[in-house]
Amino acid sequence: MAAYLQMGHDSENLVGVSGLDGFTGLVLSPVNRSETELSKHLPSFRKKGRFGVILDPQLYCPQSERGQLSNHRYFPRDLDTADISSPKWWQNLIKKLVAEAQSLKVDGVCSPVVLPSKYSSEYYVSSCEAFSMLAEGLSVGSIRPIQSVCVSLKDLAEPNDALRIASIISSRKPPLCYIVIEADTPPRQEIENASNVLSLMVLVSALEKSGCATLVSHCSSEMLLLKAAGASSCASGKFFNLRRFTRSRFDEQQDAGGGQLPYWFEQGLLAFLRRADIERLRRSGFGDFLKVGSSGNTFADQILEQFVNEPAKAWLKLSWCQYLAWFCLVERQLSVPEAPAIVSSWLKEAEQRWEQLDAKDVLLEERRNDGRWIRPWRQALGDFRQLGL
Amino acid sequence: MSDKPELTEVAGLIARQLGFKDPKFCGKGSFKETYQAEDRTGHVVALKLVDRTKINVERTDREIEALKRCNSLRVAKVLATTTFSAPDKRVFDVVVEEFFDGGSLEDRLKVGHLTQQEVIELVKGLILAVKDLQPSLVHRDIKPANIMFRKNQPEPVLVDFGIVRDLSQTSLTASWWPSGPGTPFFSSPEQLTNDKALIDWRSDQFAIGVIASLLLTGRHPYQVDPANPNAAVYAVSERRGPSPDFNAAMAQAGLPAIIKMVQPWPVLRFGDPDTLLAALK
Repeated sequence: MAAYLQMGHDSENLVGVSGLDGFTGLVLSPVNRSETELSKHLPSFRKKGRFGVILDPQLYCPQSERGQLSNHRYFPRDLDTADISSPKWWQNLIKKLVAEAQSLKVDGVCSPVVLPSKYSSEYYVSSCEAFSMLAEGLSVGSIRPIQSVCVSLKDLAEPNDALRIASIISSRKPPLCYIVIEADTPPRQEIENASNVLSLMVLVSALEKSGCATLVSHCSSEMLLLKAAGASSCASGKFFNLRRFTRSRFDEQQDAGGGQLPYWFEQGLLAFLRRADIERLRRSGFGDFLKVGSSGNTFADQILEQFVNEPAKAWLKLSWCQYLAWFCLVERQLSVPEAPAIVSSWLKEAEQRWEQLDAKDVLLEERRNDGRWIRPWRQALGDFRQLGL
Repeated sequence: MSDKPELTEVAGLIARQLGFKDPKFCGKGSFKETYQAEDRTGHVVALKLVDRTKINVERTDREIEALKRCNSLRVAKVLATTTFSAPDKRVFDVVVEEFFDGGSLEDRLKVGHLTQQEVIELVKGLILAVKDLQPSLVHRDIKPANIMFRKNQPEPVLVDFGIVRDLSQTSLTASWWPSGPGTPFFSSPEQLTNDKALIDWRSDQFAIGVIASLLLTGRHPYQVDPANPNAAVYAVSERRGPSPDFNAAMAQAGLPAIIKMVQPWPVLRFGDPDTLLAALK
């Protein structure tokens, strides 16, 4: 059980930051860093703490912007013309991936997968075959093979969709699954469809109970629900997945992370707040809605202090840290069997707070930032608990 | 397997060619007839005659290959194989197997009921047999008629690997077929719906769970209407899950493991034979 820091554009300076010690794992990003750069960074990461380091080969959308991918030895030069249904082609790729992983001395490697045009049963069978090849390649040594499981959120319409995928994946009994959720949720928005959330929870729960531990990648605040479903580990990046795992995300690397705005993550509302929102809440007599639970971490204090003492100073890095500190603290807090009950009470309280804000016409900056996702999340969690998986 | 024999004459010719005496008809399936015969030393074997004009030859080859690979006392042993050209030009695959003089589970059930402990021991024996098929073989037709016993021995032996699936090879069943091969009453949802990506040893686990349910409750685990056992097959194909009555009966008997064995999705069943065996202790 561990919170993983998903490395992205210029994330190295967040590794080992005091207050983010809860992150005990790192997921490397070959799209952002060449093999040479990763090999230089890893020893310095190791000096900053005892991290479990995972290499995700990130071949999801190889036809789009490749960033630094082509500067990795495993990246296939014939990608545009090759017959990727050929087992020999995959064996060759995996052989090079294993060699790179051994050279980098990482602790785990995710099996390579490409996002399909259709998430069919056959797609998952071939994903399992890629995992088996990787496991065979890593059979000597201590690097852990990890089964990548890409799912399309919109295809998870009901629990049976999740149980089908979990049935196929669990057939090879991978000890750890790296779940990547492809979603078309717009930037800065939460997943709002209760059926999708419920099915995602069922996927995590079914895999965990069948003996396949899960690490859910690219999480945002929905991490709460995934932990309630029993996810062993969750990973997040500094951008709190404002850019979700969409097919276009690999096209966005040129602009240094997409022109970020600073946000405060508030557990009391389970929402990302702008600076004006924080000030509005305080002005309206709802100051006690801030710093609830792990949102009130050391970075939250620094942000509020800076607003007073240096109001013009940028707080982007502090904003990332405030969210990441919340993420790793809560990830650990929810690694208990009582997680569903804890999350249920947080959601209920958050919904009540939103109702109070609405009653007083305290409206936040962004039009849709009104807590509308809390009710579907509560429904999903309630239905999940009733399923009794 | 009680229909009248059609190949008595051919069986006699084959027995003479192979050096066996007096073949006696034992039973008949869709594609084959089985005879028992004695060699010169008095050792009894089973002679299985498969008419090549009636079956996909590749299936017989796979069955033979699968059985040869399984060196297990819980799986029927192949002693020899050959082909025989009859005078009427028909060609038969001939499989010489161990003869089981203790009869089948189907025969035993005609005589009387098994106790709960006997059922548990039987289930354990079947799981061990399925374990011996690992990592890649799936029987796909486990049912009382395909479970045999040696004389005075309680350990079950799996026979009839005619539709065995070797997961390391391409499936012979077309994916557009509405249902895959197997006996529907004992088949898992993934077999009934020909959902090939989901078929593995956990499909055999489901069939064994159905057998356990029949032995313990007299019913299919998905059966809701006592007067309509066939509706259970439809309920399985719909993945409705075991009936509340079955769940209650198994809980009361202290056998929650049997409930888990017949879950509609493989991921909800036991992940490996050893865990299942431990749960049955």
